[in-house]
Amino acid sequence: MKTWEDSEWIFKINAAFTLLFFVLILSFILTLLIIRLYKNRRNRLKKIYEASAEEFINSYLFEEDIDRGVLVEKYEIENLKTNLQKKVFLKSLVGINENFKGESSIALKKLFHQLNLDAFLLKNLQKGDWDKQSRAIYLLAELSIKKNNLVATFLNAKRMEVREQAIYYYLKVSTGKPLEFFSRLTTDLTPWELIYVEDSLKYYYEGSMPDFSKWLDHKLISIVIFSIKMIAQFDQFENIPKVIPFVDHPDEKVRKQAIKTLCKLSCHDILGKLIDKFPKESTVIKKEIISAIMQLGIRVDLLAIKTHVSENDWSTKLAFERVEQHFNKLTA
Amino acid sequence: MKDRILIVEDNSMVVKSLHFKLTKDGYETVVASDGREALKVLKEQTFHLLITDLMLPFVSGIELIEFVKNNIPDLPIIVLSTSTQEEVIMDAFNLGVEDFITKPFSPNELSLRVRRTLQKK
Repeated sequence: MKTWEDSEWIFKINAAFTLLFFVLILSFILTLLIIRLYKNRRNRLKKIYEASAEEFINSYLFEEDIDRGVLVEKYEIENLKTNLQKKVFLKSLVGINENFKGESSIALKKLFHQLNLDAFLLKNLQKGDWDKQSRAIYLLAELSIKKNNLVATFLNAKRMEVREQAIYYYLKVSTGKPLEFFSRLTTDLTPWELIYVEDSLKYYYEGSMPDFSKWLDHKLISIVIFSIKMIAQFDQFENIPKVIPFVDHPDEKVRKQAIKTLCKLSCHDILGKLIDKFPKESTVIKKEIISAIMQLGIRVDLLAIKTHVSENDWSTKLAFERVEQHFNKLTA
Repeated sequence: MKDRILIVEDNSMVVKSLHFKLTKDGYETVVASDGREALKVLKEQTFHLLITDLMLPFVSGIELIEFVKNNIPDLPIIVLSTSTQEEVIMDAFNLGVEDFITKPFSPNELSLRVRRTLQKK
């Protein structure tokens, strides 16, 4: 029988690799096991903390014959020692607050300050990772805690998640001025962020709608386009004269949105100007003008641009013919 | 004897708060976390008031209300729902519910409405 020293080199390498992989697999399984055990313990603790938090919050809100100051002090010392305890408590606080209004909701906000949880959130905001920061902003928003200046610094954060929470904060907390944060933005909002703001204004915001013309001279193009769009969305007819100059804006996207908005607001006066501009415009804008003619004009308006539709520009030609068919059907 | 209230709600936080508040107010409360469980409890026990959500698993709040109005017509019902749609509220009142409270709600206001509903009875 061969000893290790007598073995072939290839056999030695093979054996070494087998051993290495065996150790690696073992460590991998062990790591998984440790993570699982850690998670199980953490989940068990979370349940205990959750039950304790809910019991305490309900006692704080509804017990009548207790000294609330003593109750809070005792709870803070005994039950809010670790970050996990604070995190779970805040989750319960927000969960209960979501369902309550009136005195109870005010009392919950008071409790938040009494337990010095604002300091915990501010620490997370200033030193935490992006996930802690976005959670902290979310909690401040849910509890309507006024920290506008601090949250403003996250409106231009690198992480999209943090930026979204900062936007949410402003939409939720700023009473009467939901888009106050626009003036603090230094980077363009992404399409998703703009959709989010639009949806929040349409479905969740309860105050009076702001005058969107305030942001027509914003330095960020995305905000200008959004404002022009919202003028149409919320039927701000009084802003038509302020939108008209934007059909001459150097940015094609701005011009396109301005035409869309003016069409939606049935601004017939713009048609002459659009027809005059047609020969010098890009394909995208030409198509938009053709669409505007369909909505606001008559067949004669369409014929006025016919000679400027190039034979080689197939998409414009197609748009033209569609509108021509539309007018043909109307006259038939 | 204490008045018995059945709370049908799938949000555990709301359930715990309601249970706590109403127990403090001197009522005996029983909790069901879905419509099916509520039907089972209603068939087995007697209550003086039903507080129910509309969006419930298995059996909806509307079905639960219909069951109560057909089988236990004397049992008053308070609906506690997130819905603010006029249509939903009208549907609930047309089925004969005594009161409709929208979430978020004030626990003190709920407490008053519970007392008033039980007094009317």
